Amino acid sequence: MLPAAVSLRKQGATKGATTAFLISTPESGVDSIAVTYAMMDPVMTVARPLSAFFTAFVAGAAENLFSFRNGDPPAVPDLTCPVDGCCDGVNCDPQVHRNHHRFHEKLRAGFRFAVSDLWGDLAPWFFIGLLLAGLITVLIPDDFFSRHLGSGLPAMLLMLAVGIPLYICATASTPIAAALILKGVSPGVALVFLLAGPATNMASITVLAGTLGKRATAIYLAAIAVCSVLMGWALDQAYAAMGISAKAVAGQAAEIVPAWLQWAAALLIVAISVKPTVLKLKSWLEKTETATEPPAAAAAALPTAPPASAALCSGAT
Amino acid sequence: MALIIDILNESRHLLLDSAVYIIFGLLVSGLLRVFLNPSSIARHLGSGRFSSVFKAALIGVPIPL
Repeated sequence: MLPAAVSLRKQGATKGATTAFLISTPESGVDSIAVTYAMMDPVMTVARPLSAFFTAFVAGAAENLFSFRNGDPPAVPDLTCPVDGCCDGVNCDPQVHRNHHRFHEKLRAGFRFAVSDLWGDLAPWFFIGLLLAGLITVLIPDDFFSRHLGSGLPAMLLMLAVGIPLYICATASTPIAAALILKGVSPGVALVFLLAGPATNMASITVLAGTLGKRATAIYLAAIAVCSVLMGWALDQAYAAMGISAKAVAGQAAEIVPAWLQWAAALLIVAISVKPTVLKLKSWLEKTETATEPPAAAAAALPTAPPASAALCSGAT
Repeated sequence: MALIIDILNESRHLLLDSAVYIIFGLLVSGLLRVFLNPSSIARHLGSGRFSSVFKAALIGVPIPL
């Protein structure tokens, strides 16, 4: 996510546009929209992308209100071939390049990206999300949240406090939110978690401060906090106005899918998740080992360390 | 022990409910990647105080990252 935003800014996108992209991309995507439809209800499926768009636009517009200048250098887009990087697209006419790859080659490249890059990053988190959702469903009594902090502003502020520093992607946060709704959390409060969780984490805040500056980072955080609560409140009002309860419909969308297809799809998901999950677990284990090593060894390991700091440096220049 | 089995059972339910949709989402994401590359959209985001923001916010909604 962050490298894409840093590269957008370097290619000449306005600060506001970069901010907007940096919010709406993690808060919503076709994968998380599909999963929301499966685990929650149609209202939530529409509310999530709509809120992501609204939050992104408000944050970006606020940023450009301060920083926009007409004399900024024009954008220099990166036209590198998305299929296999066969050319950089600069001295290559789009009409010519269009014929470099056949349609099925593009399809195959897209699917390879989806399975290995996209799902490879998501899979470990998604399974952690599933387990947390199972934990919530089993351990928390059914009327717990309807009696304590299930709705209203204090509950939303609590979700902000949890969601802003937390790193959780949109797809992985969905089962957790679905479980919370089943336990009596209002859909608006769940939406605050779904918006603030994926949009921000400590690493993205640091990189943002380096790429766009401190003021932009403050605007970004304030916009996410204010808009998430606003959209959460609006969603609760919408449910009340329509007279439906989210709890009653959560998890029913998928019943049109036949059982054999559910199992086939689940097995496929597990099959493509094994490799990335094992790799991720391995890297976590290695990290804990490095952390317990003496300081000298840790210092030697530093140059190879986090790509986030590398992005921070290149973004700052 | 029964507790762990209960928890895993709930997780399995959620996975079964969402698996078809995840695969659908991944397929569309793959298509978006090839036909709407995040780095090649920059040319539309360089001018316009609010129109660049509008376009960036809109494009970001379907793109998963």
